[in-house]
Amino acid sequence: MLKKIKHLLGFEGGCPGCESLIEYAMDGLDPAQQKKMMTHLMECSPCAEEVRAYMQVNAGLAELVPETEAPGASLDAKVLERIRQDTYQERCGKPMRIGIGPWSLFWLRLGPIFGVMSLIMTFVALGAVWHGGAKSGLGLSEADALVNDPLAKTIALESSGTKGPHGSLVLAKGKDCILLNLLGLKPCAAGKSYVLWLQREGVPSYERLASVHVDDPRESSHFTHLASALSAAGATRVLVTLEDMKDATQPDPKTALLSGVVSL
Amino acid sequence: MSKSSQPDLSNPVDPQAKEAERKRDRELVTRMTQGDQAALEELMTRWKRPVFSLAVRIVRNPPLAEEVTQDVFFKVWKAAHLFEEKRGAFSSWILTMTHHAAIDALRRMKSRGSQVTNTLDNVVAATLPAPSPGVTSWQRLKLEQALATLPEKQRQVVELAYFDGYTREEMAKVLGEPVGTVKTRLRDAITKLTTVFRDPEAALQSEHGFKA
Repeated sequence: MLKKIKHLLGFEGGCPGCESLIEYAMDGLDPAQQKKMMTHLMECSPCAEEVRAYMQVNAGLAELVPETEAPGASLDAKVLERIRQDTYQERCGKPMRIGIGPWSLFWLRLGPIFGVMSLIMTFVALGAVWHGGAKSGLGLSEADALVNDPLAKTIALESSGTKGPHGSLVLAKGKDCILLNLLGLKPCAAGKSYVLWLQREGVPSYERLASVHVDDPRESSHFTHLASALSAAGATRVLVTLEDMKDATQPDPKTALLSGVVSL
Repeated sequence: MSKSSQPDLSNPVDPQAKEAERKRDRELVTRMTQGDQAALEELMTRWKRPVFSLAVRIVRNPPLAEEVTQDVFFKVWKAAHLFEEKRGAFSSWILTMTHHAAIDALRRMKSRGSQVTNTLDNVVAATLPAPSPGVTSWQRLKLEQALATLPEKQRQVVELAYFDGYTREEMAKVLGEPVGTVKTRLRDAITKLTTVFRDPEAALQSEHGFKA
């Protein structure tokens, strides 16, 4: 008993007093003190036990807060988008960019000229629309629209080897386009084509979803249109293969470059 | 997802339902460690309201609370592998993380944008080294009673420390009292509140599915 009292008062073995432990539990310590305390708690079970009791009080206080408000409807989409960008950055070591080529900085430096040209092009496009002859279809804005679609999902694509190529696929139920990110595929040479295959629940065969042609080997993001709007019914798995056999009607999952689990 | 899939923290009387909720949370976290984003989406539907409510209570600014909520779920995704069900309840884990993140945001706001702690430190702090085993229905009820019976000055320091993130020195300044007095007051209050969790009757009642 005396040992415990001495312990709690901080007189034993360099332990902090219970007031410091309470302050730690209440997040009242500065970062340096907090780290020091965490190190101590990992080695001192009586202090850890004491903090555990204080943390339970905290958990109880948190649960006593009445639920009166709900966050905005876009919260889920924002979190998922942040995860998607983070996953991309982890894999390539650089922030994600959608549809912007390596010349982007060069073009951005030519801002004023670019601005004037954009203005002229806008007028030309508006004129064409006015005359009923223009149709929309810029890949960049469509890719942005897909990525920002609240129904869009990002699927991680993995190869069978742990250090093999990988990538991700952005798709959305009801949309007729996809965004495929291929990373570490060597060679990802110009002129190559990759085929995306989709398998549905209970169906042993795969359906050919799209063919992605790589024009620029330096570009890892590829935006592609599908033949029709994507149906989510029973989708379970996606495969990416190299299109080396023109007449292939079914992929071999064992030799597929990448595979992923679909969740729409 | 329907509203009924949210854990009902306002209902303290059904321990079996609460255990079922806890089991579902554990399943979802396990699925998240395998990269299942649908599990995260369900977890967000279940927990975004309690997380946001606590964040609003602390930062008192809905847009900032929404940022905190986003931050918390992002960390939950990143650190799902750190969650160990045998060491604590998911509810305690996520609410502790929310408290850390909200206090951090509050201090960052006070210090005009300077970073107070690394974002992942919040996750680590919520995971190690003393996670809470969670709060049973009976303990929650007893805690509410214990809080109501605290002397006004003691309840005030608990609220300032937990919900407003005040340090002892800041509380002393706000209350116009010596730091020593504030320290003693907070210690006395928390000691009284912890008795709820040290009460063998509470543990017994929770094990046998107490219904109030």
